Amino acid sequence: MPRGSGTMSRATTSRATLSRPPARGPGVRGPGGRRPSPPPPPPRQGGRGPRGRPAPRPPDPRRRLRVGRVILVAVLLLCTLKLVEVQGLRAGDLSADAARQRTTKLVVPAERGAILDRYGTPLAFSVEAKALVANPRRITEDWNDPAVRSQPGSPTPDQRKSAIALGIGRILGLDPGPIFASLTSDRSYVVLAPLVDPGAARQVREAFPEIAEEDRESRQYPAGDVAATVVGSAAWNMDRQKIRGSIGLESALDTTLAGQDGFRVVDTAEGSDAVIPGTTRAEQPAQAGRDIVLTLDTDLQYAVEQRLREYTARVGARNGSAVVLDARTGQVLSMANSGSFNPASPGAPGAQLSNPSVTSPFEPGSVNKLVTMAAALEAGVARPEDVLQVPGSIRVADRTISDAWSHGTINLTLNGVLGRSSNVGTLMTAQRVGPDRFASMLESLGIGTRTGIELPGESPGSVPAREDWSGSTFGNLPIGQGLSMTTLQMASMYQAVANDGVRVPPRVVEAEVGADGVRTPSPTPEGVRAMSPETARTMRDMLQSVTQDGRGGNRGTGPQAAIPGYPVAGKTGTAQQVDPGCGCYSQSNYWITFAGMFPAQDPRYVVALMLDRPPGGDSAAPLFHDIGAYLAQHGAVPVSTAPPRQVPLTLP
Amino acid sequence: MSTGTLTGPRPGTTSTRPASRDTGTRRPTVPTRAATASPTRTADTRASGIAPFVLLIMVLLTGGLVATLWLSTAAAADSYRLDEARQVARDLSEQSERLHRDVEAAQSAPALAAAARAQGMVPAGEPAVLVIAPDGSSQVVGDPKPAQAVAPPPPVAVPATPPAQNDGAQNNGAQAATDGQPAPAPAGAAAAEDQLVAVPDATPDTTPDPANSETTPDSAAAADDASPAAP
Repeated sequence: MPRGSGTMSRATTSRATLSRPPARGPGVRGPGGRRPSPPPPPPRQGGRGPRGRPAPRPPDPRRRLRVGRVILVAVLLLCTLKLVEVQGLRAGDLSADAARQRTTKLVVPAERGAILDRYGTPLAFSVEAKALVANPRRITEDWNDPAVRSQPGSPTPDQRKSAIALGIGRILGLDPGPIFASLTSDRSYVVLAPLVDPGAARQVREAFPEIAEEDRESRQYPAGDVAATVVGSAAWNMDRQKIRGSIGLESALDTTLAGQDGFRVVDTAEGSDAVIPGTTRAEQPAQAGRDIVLTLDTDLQYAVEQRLREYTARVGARNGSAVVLDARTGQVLSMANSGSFNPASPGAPGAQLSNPSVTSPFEPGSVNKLVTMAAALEAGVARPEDVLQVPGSIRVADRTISDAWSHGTINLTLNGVLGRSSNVGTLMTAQRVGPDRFASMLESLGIGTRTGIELPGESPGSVPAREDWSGSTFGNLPIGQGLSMTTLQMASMYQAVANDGVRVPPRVVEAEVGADGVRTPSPTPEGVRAMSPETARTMRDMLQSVTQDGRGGNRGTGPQAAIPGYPVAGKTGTAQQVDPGCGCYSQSNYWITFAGMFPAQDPRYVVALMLDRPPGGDSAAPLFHDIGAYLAQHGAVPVSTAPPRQVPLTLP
Repeated sequence: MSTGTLTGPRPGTTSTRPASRDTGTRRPTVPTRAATASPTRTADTRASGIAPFVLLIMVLLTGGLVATLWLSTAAAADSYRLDEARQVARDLSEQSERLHRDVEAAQSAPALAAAARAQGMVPAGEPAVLVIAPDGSSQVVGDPKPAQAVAPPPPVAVPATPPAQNDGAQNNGAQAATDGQPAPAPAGAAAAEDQLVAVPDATPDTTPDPANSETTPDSAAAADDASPAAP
């Protein structure tokens, strides 16, 4: 049937050609669909020979053409209308929809600033880390899949999970037990390892595609618990997807440290985070957090903490705190507490997260006698050499106050009143000063107001308001009972004496350093003149009487604080704690304090110490000696060859 | 409707199927052969004039194609190189971060103190000072005495966690794991002190962390027990 088939093909060809003109127009819509549709061919084909012509139907093609044109115009019109609608009327909506579908706003995380000590040693800094997460349900489903199960030798989900746990354990050096436990839990999201080195995370992910990683930032505290109560701690916050400070300066200066996250608007492939190259539409670079430079000296901080802890443990005190200030600038060189915590795991039991040096006020005891003496010298009502006839006890309003040691009436110089810490002599002096001058001295020494240090949770301490003073109040305050202050306030009070009468509020943040390396020093707080330079100088001389090691009545209360080669001016203190049982002052629980400075003539350092409830009531003077001796060596303070000052304290 | 009319004279159609075209659009009576002949000739003469142009276009197209291929291959190769370079940069920056972290951990005050103690060093204590006056006379200030080994300070109430075996320290341990080095000396003073304790004590059971034991007496006791075992 070669001929027949030829005919057929010829006929088909001609038909195709014939139908082309009308087909071309709507070709926009799809010529393929149109081609077989014309109805005329079958009859034509059936009746004619191979070269048969179609019956003359003159109007046919033209009409078809016309109809075609009309259809074409109509379709084009439709298209145009649609075009106008899409491009004009709904353009905004549609392009917004499209953008929503493909544009993604990626957060560019800002690196958290570091916390450095005054010499640039980092106390806290951030490194990149990953969290390994998994979807245990999904793993179970995937490995239970019939297609997978049918393959010989494919592990069961539990076998697979145990392999994963073992593998992760091997790569990260962790115990696989807990990992396996979380993998077998019936949850859809588990964190297998919260902070993992990126390289190790990649290794895990390559070995086990079921494990995903998430971006984290790991906060490093190279010095561990050294200065931890000051620096604080920051940890990853799941809600904010950002590292956040929760304790100490990390929390107080969180906004400065955190910086500002940037963003990038890019196109991503649908359903994934794969960025299509070259599609960045908008970009705002992250603003890295600022570094904080502290006034602390890490080495000193470590030494002070060690000595404080050792001494606190030795005397059996519940607690202790120590503050070292620069005598001139009031900067905090060291702030130590006997309790501390590991910033990497602040939740560990027994951790002491607070910073009692600024948050916990206590009654200072005799350390507060400085206020009375300074007020007396400043007012000119007493001089160091004045001799007071001090009886065994004194009656103030309804209360009788006696000295720590029992004696009859003795002759004490004002030096002796301070050096031997006579309550009676101090109250006698306070009577001459008067409550008003005393109160104003107390205020200008910063007691009862916050120092304004950058640390969170600072306590102002408490001083009864002047108008609320009862008769006996003025029998308590001059000897350091009935009012409270923090270790930092105590140090600041003595700093005024060390700095020739000007108290510079203590600060712990020295400067901020931006990501561009520009250093912005913290504003220097304005000094408060508490006393004249002469008063301050006389005060420093008088305070040396405390560390004077004389015979009998010429021995101060704190000769153990003396450092060979360095004259020490300081004051011991012992304050009774309130016994919650009876609401009275306890006879067994004391706050033991010491505040002092050295070298006495031209002080470089001010040290304030507090010990809470040492059972034996041991003095804090030996601790001052330990810290002072280290400070003298650490700060290369020149020694003095002059013999220690000896003044008469008790006269016959 | 110009499209319909334009299709007719197109050279391609004319040369291949002249007959069908004519039959379709013109009078069906025109003899096929004659109809075929004349357009072919004109097409030939036109083609001879067009040939260089076509050739030029073909050369241009081929050139363009080759250039595109070459460029895209080069781009792909570059992107591979870029990827590799990025990976190297990332590895290096991770390494530098890791080293930085290890160095900082190793040179922190507590780590140094622990390392010095491990080498048998003792704190110098209070030195005596020899002061020489301008006239040559000298004076000793202080009481010179040999340094004595002091008992290591008692662990803090909160001993820091040992390096690898618990959640809190996972950080250090996990991060050190990559380069096969031991975890950096754990930071805190307590950690440094406790390290000797923690190593022999690092029992496989992780949940009750040995260092997390509540009170000072306990951990002190643990320290006493473990110290002899420590190398």
